[in-house]
Amino acid sequence: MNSEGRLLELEDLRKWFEIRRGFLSSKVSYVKAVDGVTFTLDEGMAVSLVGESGSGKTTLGKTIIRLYEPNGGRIIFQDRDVTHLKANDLKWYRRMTGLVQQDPFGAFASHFTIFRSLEEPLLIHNTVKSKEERAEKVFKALEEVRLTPVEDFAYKYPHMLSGGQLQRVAIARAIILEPRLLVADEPVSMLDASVRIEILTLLRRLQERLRLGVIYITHDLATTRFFSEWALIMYAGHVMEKAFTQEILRNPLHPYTRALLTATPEPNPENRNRFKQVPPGEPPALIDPPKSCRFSPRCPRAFDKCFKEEPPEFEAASGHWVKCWLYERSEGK
Amino acid sequence: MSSSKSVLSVRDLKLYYRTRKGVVKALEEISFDLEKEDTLAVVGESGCGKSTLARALVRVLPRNIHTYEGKVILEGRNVMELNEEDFRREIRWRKISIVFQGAMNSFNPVYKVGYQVAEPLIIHDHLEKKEALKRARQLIELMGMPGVFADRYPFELSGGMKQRAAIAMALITNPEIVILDEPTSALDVLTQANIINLLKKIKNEFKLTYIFITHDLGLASELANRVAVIYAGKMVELSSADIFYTQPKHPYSKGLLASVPTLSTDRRPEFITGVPPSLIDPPSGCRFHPRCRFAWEKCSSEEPAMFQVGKDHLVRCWLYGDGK
Amino acid sequence: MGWLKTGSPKPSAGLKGVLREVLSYKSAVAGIVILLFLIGLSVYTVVTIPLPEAIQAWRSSEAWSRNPRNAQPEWIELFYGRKLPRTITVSLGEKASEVLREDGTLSVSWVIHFNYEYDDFPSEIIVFFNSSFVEKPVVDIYWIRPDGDEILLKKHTLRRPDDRLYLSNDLGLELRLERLFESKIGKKPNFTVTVEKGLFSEYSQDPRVLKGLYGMRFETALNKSDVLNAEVVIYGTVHGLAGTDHLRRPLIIGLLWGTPIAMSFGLTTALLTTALGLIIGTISGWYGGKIDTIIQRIVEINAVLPFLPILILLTTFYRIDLFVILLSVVVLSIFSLGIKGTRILVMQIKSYPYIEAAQAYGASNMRLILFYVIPKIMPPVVPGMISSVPGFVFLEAGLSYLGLGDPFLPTWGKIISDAQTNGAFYKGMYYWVLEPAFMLILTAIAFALIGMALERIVNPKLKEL
Repeated sequence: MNSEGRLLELEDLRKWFEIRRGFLSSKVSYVKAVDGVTFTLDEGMAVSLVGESGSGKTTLGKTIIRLYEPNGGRIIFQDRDVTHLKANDLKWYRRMTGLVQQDPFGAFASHFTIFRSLEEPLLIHNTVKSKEERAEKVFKALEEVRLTPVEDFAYKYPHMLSGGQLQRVAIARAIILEPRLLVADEPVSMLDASVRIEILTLLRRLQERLRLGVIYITHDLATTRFFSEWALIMYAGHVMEKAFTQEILRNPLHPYTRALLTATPEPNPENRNRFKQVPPGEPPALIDPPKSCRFSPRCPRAFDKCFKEEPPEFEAASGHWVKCWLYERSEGK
Repeated sequence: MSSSKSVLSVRDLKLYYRTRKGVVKALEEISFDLEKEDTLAVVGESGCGKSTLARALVRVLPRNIHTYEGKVILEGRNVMELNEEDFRREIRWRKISIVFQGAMNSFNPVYKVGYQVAEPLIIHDHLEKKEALKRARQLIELMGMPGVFADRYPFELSGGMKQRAAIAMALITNPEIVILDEPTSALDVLTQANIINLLKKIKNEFKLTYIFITHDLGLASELANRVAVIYAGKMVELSSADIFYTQPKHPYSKGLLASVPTLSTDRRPEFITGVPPSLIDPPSGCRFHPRCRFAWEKCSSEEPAMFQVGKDHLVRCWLYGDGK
Repeated sequence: MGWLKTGSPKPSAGLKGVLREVLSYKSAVAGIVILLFLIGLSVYTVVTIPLPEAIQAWRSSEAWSRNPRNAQPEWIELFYGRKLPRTITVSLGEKASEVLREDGTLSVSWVIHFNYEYDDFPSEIIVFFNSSFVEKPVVDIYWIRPDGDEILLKKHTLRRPDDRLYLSNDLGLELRLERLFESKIGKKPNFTVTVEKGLFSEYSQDPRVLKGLYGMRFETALNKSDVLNAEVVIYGTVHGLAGTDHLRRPLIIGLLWGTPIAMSFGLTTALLTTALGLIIGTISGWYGGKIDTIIQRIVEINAVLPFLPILILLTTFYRIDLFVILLSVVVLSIFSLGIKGTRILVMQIKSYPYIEAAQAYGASNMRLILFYVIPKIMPPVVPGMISSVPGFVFLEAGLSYLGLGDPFLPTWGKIISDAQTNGAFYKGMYYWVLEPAFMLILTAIAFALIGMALERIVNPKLKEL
């Protein structure tokens, strides 16, 4: 592909949703769901997009695989600008990317068998001509996600499978076209605790074996460490902090990241005896977010500057970027 | 082990549903005691029957009930013997109230939040509307919300605020026991933490007893001093939280705990293979044996009882069958 | 709402499953039985009475001259408990006597007999002549009552070879009969002595049918080459399964032919409007934006346009036949309010994760609509279509009733229209209206029952009702 093994580059990526207020009104406002994201992902690497609902993490994921067309910035995939691809070029990009969604029960057309659901991408891209070859591919994909014996699953309808099994089928469908990049949007948040790890482990193994780039979207910081090399912490459309996952968990810098870490519940019987120090309030509305740091209204460490100016991304440590005025001085280092 | 101090004793609660495919054995042999100001976390996977237990205790049940029996002793009185009308008048909301899963989405969009919080008072205590609304507003303030929120409509409130209002609604009649059925399941982590803080605060203030239904063991430890693990409609382990989180006994409990990813340790999370069984045709013997690493012949042929393995610690597993 | 599962609960997949479920509803079974009966009737009609033949017969008055006018159906007897007169037809047949007279003409006579055992008077008596002659012959016709009395009915001069003698309209005869009755019973009878009553009643104060063997004698003088034949038709008051109308047409033909017409009209319109509405609604919901706006405005305008007046306008401008009506109805119904329902369903489905998943693996809009959206909206659409059939059947009947129907085809609406113009209810001819009305209701019930059951199957919320 390319010399550096670079798979995906996002440059100041923006996705604003237009809202028209009222009938015939020409007044347009925007929901700034993703507002300037810059990031690079190498082949075979996984990055976690961590954030709460409304942080823009899902929009970012969907914009990356061009389910949405960006309003600004660029997406470079394998050295090719895919930001505004159309028609056949876009179809090529669809083949190079895969999506695993949050809700396994809604991810399948209820009138298709599992076989048909998996066959659809092959039919659309016509990569395999003969029926036999298609069947072979479908069965192979089912084996890949350990739904064996494959004949037991292939001819069932979605409602006959459990959530975990369906999510495996969703993964099979996402990789059947042999993509290079996979977006997994909260792939386990609707599954039971006991199967979550199983699905994530499966995803991780596939990623390593197929050298897939994976974008793992989650609200759960705790799962990121075992399933991604990188982590991006998102808040209200901005990336607040990005670094190696281990680095972020060990040395969180942004007050928001710290709050998230504190708030994440851990099994410990002593928890019941103490209150958690978490910032009050709620994330801002994205139609009219604060002009300065978007976390400033809730931030326990905010000072004057935080309410006036939007901070740039400071490299607080090597490869560890924080969008917070607290780390301004480290800039010159 | 039933003590006189307990506010709630459940004995052999059994609940079956009738469906087109057959009888669903949703709950069997559920027994536990709750003392005042206890918080019992009921944990298990989806479909294990934990929500059914919550609903069975307040008798909010669907129509297709097949069997509903056992004893629910509340302040020395078996409330299972009450008829629907008496139960509604004397128990539900008066003694036990519930915050349903997704309660924040259960508000009626056309009534103001304050009125909906006050409604149990108007219905159960036949209070004047004005007085009831006043009490509702006080309670809403106690929940950490501005009192003016009482005059707002549900859609004007965020998810976290609506959840607080739902909790207020459960507390307005001063019940002794509050059942929390996944009270934070649709909320963000920070909001969830705030709600949990609130639940801790009001528990201390009102001297409440909680039954906390959740699938999240981490979250359970935020409130629980006792933990009950339910698997496939049966309780498999019941112990104090301190012991449960450090030395779980049942293989299923161990598996569940091991599957929780943690930030504070480097332990790699593990998972339990297989899927939970059908409750229409559950496995013979121990219901967990098809997924159990330690199962031997006895496990598939004979059903284990709850064996006592320590003080207040019961486990339904043959591994502990001889250790009593 | 994350827990809202988008995969609708599928009780049993496939057509077989649906059929099995449909059959678990008794009402649906009844509907299917009625529908099968109606289909059988249609097939039977189309096979036994080909359409051109039916139209021709329906439109000619000559074909039915031997039928009684406005006769009730035969089974009406069950309600009256009396034997109502059927139509009796007697031909002259063999001559009774033939005498050569001096002037070279033949003096000929015929005697015919028939039994009259009914409890009511006939409705009409007509003599149909069928003769050839050089000079117009005069025929003397005598009536022989079972009690032996002989009455001269008429000295009739044949005007044409196929002359007809309408005895019932003969005022002179009526007067003579009235006088006869007065003289026999010594005073004026309590009833108007019509020709039929005068000929068939006992000599009594009140009309009472005199049962027995009646006779008629025809006497005339003919030239040698002349031929005279005649048919006496004593019309009953009942006829066939369905009775007759004012033009003596047997209603059964109209009722029978009305079935395939109503069914095909109803089904075709329902199918076409549903299919086209489905496509338009889907496009509207799927693409949104300007297309959606335009379609929605058309729907709204269409909704306030007066449907019937436009249809009436159309049918006055164009030659009206069933096809034109069908087309007009379809065109006017395409942009029905149903499109709004489809649109909303499509918009809902469009937001389902499985559509997004399909977009992510590159499915085109066409493919998404055809394979992902339409199969999903079919379940609610099909029962709706079936339930809409009666509406169209009624519409066609209504148009026919208003005189806007196809003028050639015998339809239920037309029968009702005829009944109305001829004052059927006023004259007590209920059967004339009730029979087509019954067929209409039967059809409506059949489709409604099936539609309702299907609706319950696809919409489990209704199951509890």
